Amino acid sequence: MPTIRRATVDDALLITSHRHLMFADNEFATEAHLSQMDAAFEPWVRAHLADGSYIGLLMEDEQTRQILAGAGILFHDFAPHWMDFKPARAYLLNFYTAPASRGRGYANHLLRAAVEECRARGVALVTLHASKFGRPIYEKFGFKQSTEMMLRFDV
Amino acid sequence: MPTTRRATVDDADIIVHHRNRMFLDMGLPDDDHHRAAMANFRPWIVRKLQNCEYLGWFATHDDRVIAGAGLLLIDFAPFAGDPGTVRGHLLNFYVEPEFRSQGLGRTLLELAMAETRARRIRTVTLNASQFGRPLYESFGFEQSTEMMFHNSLDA
Repeated sequence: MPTIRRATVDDALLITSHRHLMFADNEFATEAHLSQMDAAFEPWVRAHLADGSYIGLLMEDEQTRQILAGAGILFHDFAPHWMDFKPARAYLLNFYTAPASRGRGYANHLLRAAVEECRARGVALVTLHASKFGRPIYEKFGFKQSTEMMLRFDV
Repeated sequence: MPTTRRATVDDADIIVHHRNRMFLDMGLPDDDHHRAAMANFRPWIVRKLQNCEYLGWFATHDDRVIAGAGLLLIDFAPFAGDPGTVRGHLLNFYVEPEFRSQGLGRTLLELAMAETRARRIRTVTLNASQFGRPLYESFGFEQSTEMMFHNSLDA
C-alpha cells in the first residue's frame, strides 16, 4: 500500500486538478464552469492549507513519488449542536483516485485516515457530499444521509 | 404584516432561547449532550454576531420577540457553478407556539433569502425538520447529497 503524506501549500495546484477531475468524472458541470472553479479554488485552497483549516491527504507511490489519490478535510467553525457540542465540524472533499489506480481501495484508505484525523482533533461530526460513485464507500463506512436541503442559484 | 427587526449582539439570549426550544420541540431529549451544546452555543453566537458571520431576524408583537431565524455565512470551497467562497446556512428558525400558522417562518425566510441575494450568495443550505420541510420546498430547496458520520470520541 502506498504511503499517505500531508499536502503543503505547494500542492495547491495538484489539489485543484483533483477537484477538477473529480467533478469532470461525475459529469457535474461544463468545462467552462470547471475552469471558473479552478481559478477561484486554487487561491482558496492555498490560503486554507497555509492557515491549517484545510488538511490534504495525498497517497504517494513510494518508488516513483507519483500521487495516486487524494482527499481533503475542511474544518468549519460551526454552531454547537447536540451531536457535537464543540463549535467544530469537519467536511470531507476532493476525493479523487487517478484512473490507473482505481479498484485498489485507496479511497477507502483515505477515508479512514481522514476520519481518524478528525477524531484526533476531537471533531465528532464529519460531513461530505456524496457522488453516486462515492456513496457505497461512505455508506459501508457508516455515513448516513443527512437532513440537509440545498438551494442553488445559477451563475 | 408582522413587524420585523435585525438581531444585534445584545440579542444572544433570545437566539439561545430559540435554538433551545427548536431542538426540544423537535423531540430531542433535554439531556447532558443538549445542555452542553447549548452552554457552548452562547459564546459561539456572541462571537458570530460580533464578527458579522451570523445574521439574525426577529418578528415582534408589542415589542416582544415572537419568532426568529438566522443566516450563517460559511467559508466554503469554490464549486463548479458557484465560484464564490461564501455559502449561506439557515438555522435557528423558531416561532413561539401561540404565534404559529401565521406565516412568520415564511416572512423570516424571505428576509434571509433576500439577504443572500443581496450578497450574491449562490448556495444556501439548511438542515430541515419534518415541520419546516414543506416551507423550504416551497422556496425551491431540495434534499442534498450530504452524508454525515458521528465519530465516537469516547474510544
